[in-house]
Amino acid sequence: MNSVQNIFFGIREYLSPVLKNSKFKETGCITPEEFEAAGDFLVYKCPTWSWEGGEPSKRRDYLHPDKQFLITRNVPCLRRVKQMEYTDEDAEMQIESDGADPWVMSHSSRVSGGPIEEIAGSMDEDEDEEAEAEAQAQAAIKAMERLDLKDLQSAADDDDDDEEIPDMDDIPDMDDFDDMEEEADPATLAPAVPTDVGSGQSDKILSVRTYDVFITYDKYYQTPRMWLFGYDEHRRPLVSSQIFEDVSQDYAKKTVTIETHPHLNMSLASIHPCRHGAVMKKIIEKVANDEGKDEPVRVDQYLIIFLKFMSSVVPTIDYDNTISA
Amino acid sequence: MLLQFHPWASAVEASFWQVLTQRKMDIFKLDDSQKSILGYYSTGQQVRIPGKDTSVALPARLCLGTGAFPDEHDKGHGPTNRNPAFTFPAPGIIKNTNTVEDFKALDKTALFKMTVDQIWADITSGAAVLDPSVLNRFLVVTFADLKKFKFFYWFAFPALQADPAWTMDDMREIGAVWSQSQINSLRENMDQYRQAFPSNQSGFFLVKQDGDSTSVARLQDWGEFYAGCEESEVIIGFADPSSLGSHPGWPLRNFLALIQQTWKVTTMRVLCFREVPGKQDINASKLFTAHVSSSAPLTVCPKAAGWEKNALGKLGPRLADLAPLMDPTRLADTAV
Repeated sequence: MNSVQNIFFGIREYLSPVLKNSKFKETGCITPEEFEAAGDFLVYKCPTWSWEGGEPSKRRDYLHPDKQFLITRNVPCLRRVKQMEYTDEDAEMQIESDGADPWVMSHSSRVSGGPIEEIAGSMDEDEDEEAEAEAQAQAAIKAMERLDLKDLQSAADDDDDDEEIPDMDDIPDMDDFDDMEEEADPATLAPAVPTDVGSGQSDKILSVRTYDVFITYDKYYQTPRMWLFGYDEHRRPLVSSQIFEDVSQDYAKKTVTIETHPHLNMSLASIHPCRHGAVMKKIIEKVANDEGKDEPVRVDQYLIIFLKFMSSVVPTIDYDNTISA
Repeated sequence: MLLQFHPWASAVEASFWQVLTQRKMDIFKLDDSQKSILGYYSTGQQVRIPGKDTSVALPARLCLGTGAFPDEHDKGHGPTNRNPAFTFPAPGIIKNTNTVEDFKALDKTALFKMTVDQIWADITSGAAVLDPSVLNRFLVVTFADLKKFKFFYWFAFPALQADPAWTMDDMREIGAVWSQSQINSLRENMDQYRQAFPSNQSGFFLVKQDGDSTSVARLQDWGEFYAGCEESEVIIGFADPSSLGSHPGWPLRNFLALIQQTWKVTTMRVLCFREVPGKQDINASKLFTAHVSSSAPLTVCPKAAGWEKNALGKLGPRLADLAPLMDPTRLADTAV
């Protein structure tokens, strides 16, 4: 079933024309050239991102052979989305949408939460996509503002919910290594017990989840697309249900799906790009208005903005820490 | 105070297993001899706790990625064996067995000893002075269950044990010891150093201070660089994967062994170089003084330690289960 779907996606991608003319301000979509320019700018601004060529057999010829996708590795993810609590400052916000009743966004000051869900739920699925994109953009902008303040309400104190100790079943037939003995080595620093996040001791190592984050170019939707590969505290790959714990509940399972990475022979969690164009258009308009009309948003800044938008989807994956823009 | 080193934590990228699978099927087939691989590491990182004014230390990770294998049929598709920016190379050996029985029966002690002997030979021959990255030499034994997409692996990061052991004074922030202009000078010189020389020089280097300016040089330039200097002016620098405020990372162990063996220095300052990638910020770097009571060169290879413990904290292999991500039958379950 999945393979049928993949074949369908493959054909659809093959048949879609490569976007040639720039129209990122009108539609929020970008061309492969603009993707490359924006990627170069991102790598320049945030050198923890880098270009990769990926699988030679999966190379897309409308992209530079060595610049097929972007990756940043070992991004720490300190806590789960559910640990981000509601606070008293949660405010309600009204979103005007043309000709329709204003939407009330409760808890709009929260980074993540229900507003989009509520809005989406109260709308007919296929009706008024514009308003939904608007709402999503608003929520994303709001979230971005909060993120900029680095004011993620923290429930970090109880972050030591150590994953249950894996039992030996994890490694079947591997329990006969008792012969391996290493003499005590006083110069080896003994592993510290994982500490509470809150203790503020810099002399203990905190084992955290980490993510490899990828950005590919989606030819069909003509937008960037984000992919996530997660590892647990013991560096074991996360399964999809665990990854969903790090996705804002508005998006988990709805717009985050597990699909085959276009440049790797592997399936990864991906944030589905069906609304990226519309949301990006709104955000770009908002940013342009905020910064005054003199200096319009340049297309090479696209990915920086895109990453800010994505951080509202995966608020606890802190790839943003190197972004100064 | 006894100098204790913060051990490595292995970090294999999922895509490495993919590459290993391909190599195994297309190139190695039933050949299970040891192969060379290249790992990488960054300097130690702390992350801020959201909403709090404190940060926590992250593990010192030695990573294997898609560039770990040298490309055997490079068709000019750009550089291979390429490590990410702001990382330092660690050459290693992979021993991938064909069966789980072979994996269990592997003479791991012999493989470990072989790696240790190599490190020791590179130190005594001076090869490590010319290519200090070999001080990071590591070993990983693996068994890839290609039908179940399960990968068993076990890393060893051999470190020579000093006897008598090294001692240290308190580790201090670089900013508490050096002025900001000295720190800036070091940062600029490190950038130039890394551009000027190949990456195998980047992880271990020499530092000298002269008033407000510092200079950085390769190990092989020791004689010229420290000509006319007192022993107390020697500062050895290394890219430090540890992010702890009190302890340096694992690469320093074999580095100290090299220094002791080659230049017979018993007391020296150590610069634990730690940067925030891309931010031109090296203020997390640390300085301390290392001391050892005897400078008598060793004639036999010392004992070594370094097998990695698994998630249970025991000596034993780890498992990466990629079935949910690579197995076509499992993939159907998660398809939406």
